[in-house]
Amino acid sequence: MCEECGCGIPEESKKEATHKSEEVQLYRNLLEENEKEADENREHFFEHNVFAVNLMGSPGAGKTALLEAIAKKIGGNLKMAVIEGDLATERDAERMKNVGVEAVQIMTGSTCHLDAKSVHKALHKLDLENIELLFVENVGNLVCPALYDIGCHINGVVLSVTEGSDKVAKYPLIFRKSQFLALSKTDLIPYVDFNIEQPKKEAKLLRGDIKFFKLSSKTEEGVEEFIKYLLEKRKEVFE
Amino acid sequence: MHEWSLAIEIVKIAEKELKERNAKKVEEVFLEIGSLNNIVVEQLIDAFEIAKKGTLLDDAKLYVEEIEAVAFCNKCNKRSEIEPPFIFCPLCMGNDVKIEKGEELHLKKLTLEF
Repeated sequence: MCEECGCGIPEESKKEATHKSEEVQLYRNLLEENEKEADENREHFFEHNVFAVNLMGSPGAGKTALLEAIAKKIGGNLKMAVIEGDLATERDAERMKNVGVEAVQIMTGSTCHLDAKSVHKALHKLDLENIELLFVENVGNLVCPALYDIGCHINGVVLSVTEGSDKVAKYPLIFRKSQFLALSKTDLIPYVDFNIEQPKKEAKLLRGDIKFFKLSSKTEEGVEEFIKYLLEKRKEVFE
Repeated sequence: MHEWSLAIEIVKIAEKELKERNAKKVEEVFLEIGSLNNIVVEQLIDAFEIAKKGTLLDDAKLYVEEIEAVAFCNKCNKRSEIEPPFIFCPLCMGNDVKIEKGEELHLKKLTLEF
């Protein structure tokens, strides 16, 4: 709000006398439609015993690579599926299919995040009865996906060590909405200037109960522990 | 640019209200936006100016009231204004706090012309 020119300051006194105007109090959430649709997704997941994870992070953070590593570890022990969100191409869905995982691609065009409606549409393309663990890989972006509830049981961010250790405080909302922070590409730590304590400390100041994981999809460091965490969360929801 | 998506939602909600109340047009739109949402108010206003074109909000003005973040500390039993981005009590520096203000994303009221 600017005090100099007054832009953004309500001027309730300037109505013209010739018009009949009326003020209507609403107090409506701007994202109410999305939240309603997110609730519907939640109901779908609950009905079909699908545990859903919203995986967020920058482009190139290693979200898809992590999902490939998880798929390889899980093998046939758990029925996993992925909804992939990108502006364009089916590349990520193809990658998941190549490791034997059922995948649906959402192409958003120019939209920088997935919303509950786009996820709902993708759910119709999946056989939910045959899925126990569903990942929704959001559009690569540390800003917009944070505002949109898509109805998943847990939200989390993948942050790679090559992005720098100062990113958590720079993009606070997404970390505040996340139950876990998965630090990826840890095999590269010897080659980059990365202070592992900084994102850990800053994430705790945004959300006291955030869980922290050190992962490398390449060496498989931490992947098993991460899967264990997801399965425990799944148990909390369904048992 | 989630501001663009929000501008479209504002137009959608306001047009629906207008039709339900048989009003002629929307004159003013008042929002409450909490500082913890990381919304750039200037961008939201710019996006609204574009989104409203050719709708029943064509002449509408958008006013945005920004709400500062306030949290209640469970340890100190006190509420304080907090300085984003971090969420902690400025008195004890602890993070056992409940956010009470700063998350608003509301269409507070409309002025409609009948």
